[in-house]
Amino acid sequence: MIDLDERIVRTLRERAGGTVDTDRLTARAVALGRARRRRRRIGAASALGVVALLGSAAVGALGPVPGPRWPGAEPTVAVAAPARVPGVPGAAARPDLVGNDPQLLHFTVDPARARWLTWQSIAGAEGARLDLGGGRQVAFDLARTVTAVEDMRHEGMTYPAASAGADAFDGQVRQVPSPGPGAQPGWFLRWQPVPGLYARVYTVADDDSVLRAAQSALRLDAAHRCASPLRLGALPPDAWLAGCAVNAVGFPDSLDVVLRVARPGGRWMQVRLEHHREMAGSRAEGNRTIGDRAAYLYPKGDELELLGFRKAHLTARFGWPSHGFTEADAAVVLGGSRVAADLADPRTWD
Amino acid sequence: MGVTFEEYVSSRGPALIRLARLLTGNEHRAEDLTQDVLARAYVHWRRIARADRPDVYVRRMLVNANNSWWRRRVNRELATADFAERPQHGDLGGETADRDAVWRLILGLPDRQRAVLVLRYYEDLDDATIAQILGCSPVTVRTHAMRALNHLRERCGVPTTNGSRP
Repeated sequence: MIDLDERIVRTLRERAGGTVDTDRLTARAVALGRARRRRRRIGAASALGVVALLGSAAVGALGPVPGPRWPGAEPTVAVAAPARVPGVPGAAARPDLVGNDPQLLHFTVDPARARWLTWQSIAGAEGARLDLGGGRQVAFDLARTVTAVEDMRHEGMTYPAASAGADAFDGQVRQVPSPGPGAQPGWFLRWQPVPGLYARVYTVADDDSVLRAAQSALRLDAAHRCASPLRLGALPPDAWLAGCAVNAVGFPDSLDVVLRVARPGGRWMQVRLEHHREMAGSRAEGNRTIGDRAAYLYPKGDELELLGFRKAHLTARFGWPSHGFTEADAAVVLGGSRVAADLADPRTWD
Repeated sequence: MGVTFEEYVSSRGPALIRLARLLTGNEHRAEDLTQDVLARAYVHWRRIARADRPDVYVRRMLVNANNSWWRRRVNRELATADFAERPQHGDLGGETADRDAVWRLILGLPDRQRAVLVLRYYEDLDDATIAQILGCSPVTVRTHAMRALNHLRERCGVPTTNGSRP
C-alpha cells in the first residue's frame, strides 16, 4: 500500500505539471513591472507638477526635461541627469582624460533626443544607459581601450558572451543572436570617434534603428559630473575612489548609487546608497557605532550599514567578491560619507 | 551585482508557476498570480537580488499574494471531499481517482496548512526554509503540517502510524 507521504507527493506532482512558456512569462513580467514602475513615477511626477505650477522653481541642468523636446518623455516626469561641468573639455578635445576620473564623464547627450537612465565611470570606461523614447533603450560605453569598452556591462541589459576585437570598431552595425530571454536579437554599433578612443552602443530590439539615433544624440564636446546624492569625505589609507555608478531608472521613486573604493592589488569595496520611497523605516537599533551614529554589521561580517537614513540604506560591502578591506575601513568610509538632504531632489546632491 | 531579473525568471519562473498552481488550484489564476508577483519583484529587484536567497523572498511574495486573494474571496468554489468511495489501490484508474480525491482534500485545507504541505512535499524544503517563506517559526510550520496530515489521515482512513513525516 502506498503511504500517505507518497500519495501526497504523487498528487502534487501531477497537479503542478504542465508546460510553462518561460519566454512569455519573462516578457510579460518585465512589461508589467515596467508599467508598474512607470505608473508610480507618473504619480509622483503629477505631485511635482503641481508644485512646479505653484512655485515655478528653476531646476537647471538637473531638472525636468521639457516634454515636447524629448519624444518619449511623459511631460511632467521628473528626471535626474548628471550635471555639466563647465570648463572641462569633452572626449573629442581630450581623449586622454576618458576613464581617468571616476567623478567625470567626458561626453554628453542631446536632451531633445535622449534621456539619461544611468551613468557610470568605472574601470577605465565611461558610459550610460539612455532612453530614446518609445521604450527604446541603449547602453553606451566609451574608453581608451577595446578591452575596457567590451568588459563594460549595464544593469538591465543582457549581453552575448563573446567580445569583439579592435577591428569591429568600424562604424558598422552588427547583429548577435538573442542574448537573453525573449527572441529579440542584440545589436552593436562600434566606432572610433577620434583616434585612441573606442565607442560602443548596444541594444536588444527587433531592429537596429535606435543605434543610429543614439549615435546622433551623443556628443563628445562637454563633460558631466557623475552626479549622485552620495559623497565620500574620507578614505582608508592607500585607498582611492575608483568608480561611480548611478542608476536613476526609477527616479524619483528609487535611486541606486554605487561608489567603488579600491586598493592596490585589485582589491575593492563597494559603498552603496539605495533609496526607494516604499522602503520601510530603516533598522532602528545597531550593533556598532560610527562616531555618534548607530551602525549595523550584518551577520556574515562583510557588510556594514550606517543607520538613520529615511527610505534609504547606506552600506559598505567589503567581503566577497573582492576582499582586502576590513570593518574598520568600512567605518572610515561610512563615517565620512555625506548624503544629500533630499534624495529625490537633484538640486541638493552636490 | 547578482542575478538579473531576466535571468532569475528564466531559471525559476517555471518553478514559480508550478508552485502557484498548487497554491491556487487553478492554472489560469496561477499564471496571473505569478505574473503579478514577478511584476512587483521587478520594481524592487535590486533589493531582492541582494538577499542571500532571492528565491525564498519571491516565494514568500507568492504565498502572501495567494493568501490575500483567498481572504478577499467571499465564497470558496472547492469543497472538502470525503473518501466515501475510496478506490482500491493498484489499478491505474483507481490511483488516478485517489490522486483526485487527495487533491480535493489538499485544496480544502486552510491556506497555511496547504502551503506547508506544498512546500514540504512538492518543493521538498526543510522546515526552517518553509518558516522563512511563511514568515513564522519552524515550530509553527510543524504544527501546520501535523494538523494538515491529521486531517488527511482522518479523511483517507489512514492510521496515524502509516506513513507521513510528523
